[in-house]
Amino acid sequence: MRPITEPDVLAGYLTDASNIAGRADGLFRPTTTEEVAEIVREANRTKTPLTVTAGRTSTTAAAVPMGGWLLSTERLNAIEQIGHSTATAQAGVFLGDFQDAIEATGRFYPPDPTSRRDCTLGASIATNASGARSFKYGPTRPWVESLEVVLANGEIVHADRNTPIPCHWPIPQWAEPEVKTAAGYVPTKRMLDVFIGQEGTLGILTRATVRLTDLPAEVLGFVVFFPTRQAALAFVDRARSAQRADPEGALSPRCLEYLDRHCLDLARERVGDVPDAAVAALFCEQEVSLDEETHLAAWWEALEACGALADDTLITTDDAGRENLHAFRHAIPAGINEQVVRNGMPKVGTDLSVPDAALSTIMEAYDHAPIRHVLFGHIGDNHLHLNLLPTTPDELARAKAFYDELAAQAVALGGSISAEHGIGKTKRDHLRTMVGDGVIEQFRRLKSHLDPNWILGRGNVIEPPL
Amino acid sequence: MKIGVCAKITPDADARIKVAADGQSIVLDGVKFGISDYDEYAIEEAIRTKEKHGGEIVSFTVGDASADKQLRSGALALGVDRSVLVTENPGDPLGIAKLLAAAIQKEGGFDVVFTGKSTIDQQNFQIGTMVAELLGWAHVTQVTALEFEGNQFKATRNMDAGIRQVVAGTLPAVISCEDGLNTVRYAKLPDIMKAKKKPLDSVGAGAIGGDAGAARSSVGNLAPPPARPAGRMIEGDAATAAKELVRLLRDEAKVL
Repeated sequence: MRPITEPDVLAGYLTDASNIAGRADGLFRPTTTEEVAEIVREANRTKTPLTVTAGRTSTTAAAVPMGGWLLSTERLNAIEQIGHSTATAQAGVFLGDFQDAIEATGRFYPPDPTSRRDCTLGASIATNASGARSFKYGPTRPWVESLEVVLANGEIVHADRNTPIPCHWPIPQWAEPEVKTAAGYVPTKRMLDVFIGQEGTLGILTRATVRLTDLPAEVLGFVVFFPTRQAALAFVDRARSAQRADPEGALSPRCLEYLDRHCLDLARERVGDVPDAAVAALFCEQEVSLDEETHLAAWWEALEACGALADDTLITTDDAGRENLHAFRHAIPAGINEQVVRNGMPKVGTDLSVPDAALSTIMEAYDHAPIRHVLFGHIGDNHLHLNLLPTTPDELARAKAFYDELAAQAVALGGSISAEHGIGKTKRDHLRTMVGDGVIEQFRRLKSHLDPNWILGRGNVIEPPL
Repeated sequence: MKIGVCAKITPDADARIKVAADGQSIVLDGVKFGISDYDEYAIEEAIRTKEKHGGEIVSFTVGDASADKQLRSGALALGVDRSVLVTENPGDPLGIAKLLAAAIQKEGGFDVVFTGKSTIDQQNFQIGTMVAELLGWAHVTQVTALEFEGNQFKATRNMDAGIRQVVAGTLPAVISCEDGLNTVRYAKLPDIMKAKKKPLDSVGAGAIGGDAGAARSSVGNLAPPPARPAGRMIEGDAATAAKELVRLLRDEAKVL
């Protein structure tokens, strides 16, 4: 196979949602696993860096090539099997399309990164993606049943839940923080896990089988407003405890998403329906496992007990209405992006998670943001995104320095420097802060063992050798 | 003001529609239902009218007994005071319009009745007009702005080519609502809970003195649109491919 080298074609593949621009000498768009293997063998033989590119929704430049070849999974997009307990597709299928096809059969694949319409199944596994529903269902990892992977030497391997790791693979031994995390190579005994969350550095995913569950028949959607942050945190505490005690109980949200007062200002501009007294809000979903009235009564009681602006709670009881409530939530990123364009400066977005006990501490730290910012995200998992919106190069530098401080503080609190976005090329320093030099060295040994020429996903997760 | 609103329960706008084996209906398994989008504008306008002029809102639906759920969350929870559900299944739009008109007449005393401009399932654009004719009331279609003063109304309606027409008239009237007339509100939690206790009368045609009569039109057959043909790849280097693309756009697609 020969790479496409037309600059006009390559130009569409050189950046991702990080807005960092890369460069590449050629592009392949294989249609079969065998073609992928052939390309990888050639890259390995010629020691040409090979970066996998898919939906380019990464915020960490993981899909941005720093020279060498690009391998786009866009034509590896067949949905091959949808059964009762599992579904199989090639890696390049759009995650949202795959989920639509699964849901049409009454089954459900829960991982829901915000980008699910634009990102691919393979990339969501390669980054161990998560989303709002991860509060109930966890990230991608527990849902992966088996993978087909092309290794750096061109070998095609299959890993399922029982496939052990060959004894000579130097798997890093370290303790991951006990929070939602997508940072670094996992300490594991299963080969399957090695390839989940490795950001295209240890192998190229070409096909995946995932586990399915029951599609919830009905889901209630809520936007709950609070007059104080304390009231919002009290409700998060209460709802989280109830959810953990009984995941199918009357008060058992499947997601708890926080919106701070700056977000509410953006929502006021765009969709209205925000009470004047509100300084914080939660976007929540409740699967209907009992009867609707029982759920509503439990929510009402908890909201009143926690001092929410309960009368103003927006609710939808059907799919169409829930899509409308999503429009409310999506007004926030749209508003932020508009600001970013107006500012002409990139935003600085964090992805830190901390243990339950440290949530209010890290939120107080966010209050000290030196420039204009908004705070939102997966508060059920103590995982909020602080977006700093600089307007000058000086503000950008201050925002970055503040982010470094926050990352160090999250680590000190027992948290993770990346709960879901991964490391890519932009958070290698933070990863080192979190795991230390010794563990980085272990990562390096695993990488060198599986990819001696460092061709795959060069620059992601750990710094390449000079 | 006494305000009526007609609301149909239809498959959700994003439902995946499959034609059933009989070729005349759709597969309803796994399809979720809600109030037709344009009827949601009608409900919203009814609520806004009540907020401004006071009064009472009664909604009317011809449909299955299971419509109860959607009416509670999509009409009663938002501000409709009572719902009348006529559990009949007429064979054509005229039959539906006759039942709606009978129910409106039986209830009596309305100043205005709102409908959607059409429903998103069949897109017949007939109900509003037929109901108005059967009642002998004024009717305006595709309304995007509306004002009341005393027993007079002034409605702005969309015409083709972006032209807007302003129609004035005397109440009672049927107003068919178009996208852009208003923005539909979200339901609030206490209202959903209260909606469970609001009156919803399920009645047969006999109870309202209505009769759908024999259908005057019927569905011949339903077919999905033809599948889109696969894209064509133009081979060759950029210069050759660009020339070929221009030729195809000019000679085959005839868009240049």
